[in-house]
Amino acid sequence: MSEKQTADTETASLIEVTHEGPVAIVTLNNPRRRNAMGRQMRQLLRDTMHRLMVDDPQSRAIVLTGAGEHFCAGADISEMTKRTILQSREILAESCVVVREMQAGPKPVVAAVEGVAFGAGLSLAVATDYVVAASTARFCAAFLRVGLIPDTGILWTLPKRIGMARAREMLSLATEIDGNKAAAIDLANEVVEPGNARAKAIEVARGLADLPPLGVALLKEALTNVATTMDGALRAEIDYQPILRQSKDHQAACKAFMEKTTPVFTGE
Amino acid sequence: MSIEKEKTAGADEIVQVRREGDVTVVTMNYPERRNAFSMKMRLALTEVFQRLMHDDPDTRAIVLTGAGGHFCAGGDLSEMHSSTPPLLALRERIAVGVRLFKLMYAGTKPVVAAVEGTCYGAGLSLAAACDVVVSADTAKYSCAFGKVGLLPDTGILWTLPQKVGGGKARELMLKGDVIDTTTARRIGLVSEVAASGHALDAAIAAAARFASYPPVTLALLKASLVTAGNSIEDACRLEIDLNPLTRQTSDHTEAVKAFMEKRRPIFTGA
Repeated sequence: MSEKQTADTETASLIEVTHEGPVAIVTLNNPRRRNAMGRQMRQLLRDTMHRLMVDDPQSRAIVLTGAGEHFCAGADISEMTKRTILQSREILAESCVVVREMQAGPKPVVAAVEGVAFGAGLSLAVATDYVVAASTARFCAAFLRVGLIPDTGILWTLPKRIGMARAREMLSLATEIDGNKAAAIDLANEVVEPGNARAKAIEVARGLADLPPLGVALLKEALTNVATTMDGALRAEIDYQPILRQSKDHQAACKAFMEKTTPVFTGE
Repeated sequence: MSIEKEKTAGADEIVQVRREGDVTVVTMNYPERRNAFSMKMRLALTEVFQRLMHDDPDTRAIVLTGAGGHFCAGGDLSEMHSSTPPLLALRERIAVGVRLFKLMYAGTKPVVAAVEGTCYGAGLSLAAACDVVVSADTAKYSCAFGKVGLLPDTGILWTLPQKVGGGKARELMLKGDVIDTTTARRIGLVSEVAASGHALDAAIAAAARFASYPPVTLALLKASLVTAGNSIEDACRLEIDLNPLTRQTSDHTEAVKAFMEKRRPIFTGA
């Protein structure tokens, strides 16, 4: 409820939400600043992502993108110098909530990246399940260039995503790579012509929205929070798989397989 | 005793076992269903791997393959469709696959997959549980659990992110797309590519290389790799605990001696 109130305030436009069928499209919307994240945008993104994940049954997949020609230039540097250490800690904690929600939340998230994904912008892209990048997109963990430790979850998500050797290189040298290179190292899952990232991401998200929702939810939870050791991974399958075997969606999938039809999943 | 059992394993057995020197070849044999991972298949594989890992000193390396031009098409959906047991019974059934996975992945002897044709769902899990995957250039891979409303199982929640990275693993698990051998090789799922029809020969050759290495050290290495990646503390502790043990083996002494004498060492497992 409080989120809806927030969304009605004058800052609501910093995060824009539109819907295309079962896909919710979240747009970072401050194009004059290359969608740099100030505190208001962070809080709105946190509240919006939470609402879409837990309080919007119509949406089954989420696209995260930036308005205009860029994804996100990172944190808003103009706000940084004014803060005490305690205030900075609060802000970083807000970002971590978004990262956890995207990684472990019940719905798949697809990033559509055009232009720059720098600093915390890179962190947001890396925290999604699937990255569609324009060939001209620019990825950079620019944190060290401004004297900061990489944040917004990227110390965890980047090594997990692309392996430690490449993650160390990107994080400690702050090298910039383009969309093609990002795809070559599996930072991006797919590369498209400039201008096509949003449309392609929506197409991917529509495909993911067709999957059985409970299976997707338990998979994301398991991968993020349970399968952190071999024993954890094995416990996840023993605990979760029986629930899924009893689900209506799994039974519908078996029936459709036998009858060679296309199943429709309800989440039950 | 175990050899007698192998001799009796006829063509109608769902899992066939035969010996090639120090290497034992295990064949999933249910070709009319592309070697689907039915409950009968799970139980038979588990029994065979239990025996080969723990009660068969003559076997130094294992090859897992499928009959009839396919590796394994994954879970048996017709079997799943026909009955839905209660939760506790389902947990027991899942636990069979988990037991098999642990024998393969954390067991004492190296396992090489020889993949031709289809390698889907739990078939992919079995391949990923092997130490090395040798693939025909025409093989196809898919992590096809999500589309039928299931969680990827038989250990693959652990092995796939470990082998191909977390980003690619999420993609393969969520989308379930079929990938070819070239892609599987690029992302690290496949170690070696053979011409179509020759995966088994190449896998036996790879397993024979494993079989020529010191068995105690191989067993400790496999055990180490299960937890060494959890933290730098785990990795250092394992090295401090286990390296001195391997230094004390006769096989290590023999390797040093052979090095000085410029000859090939012969390892016995002592």
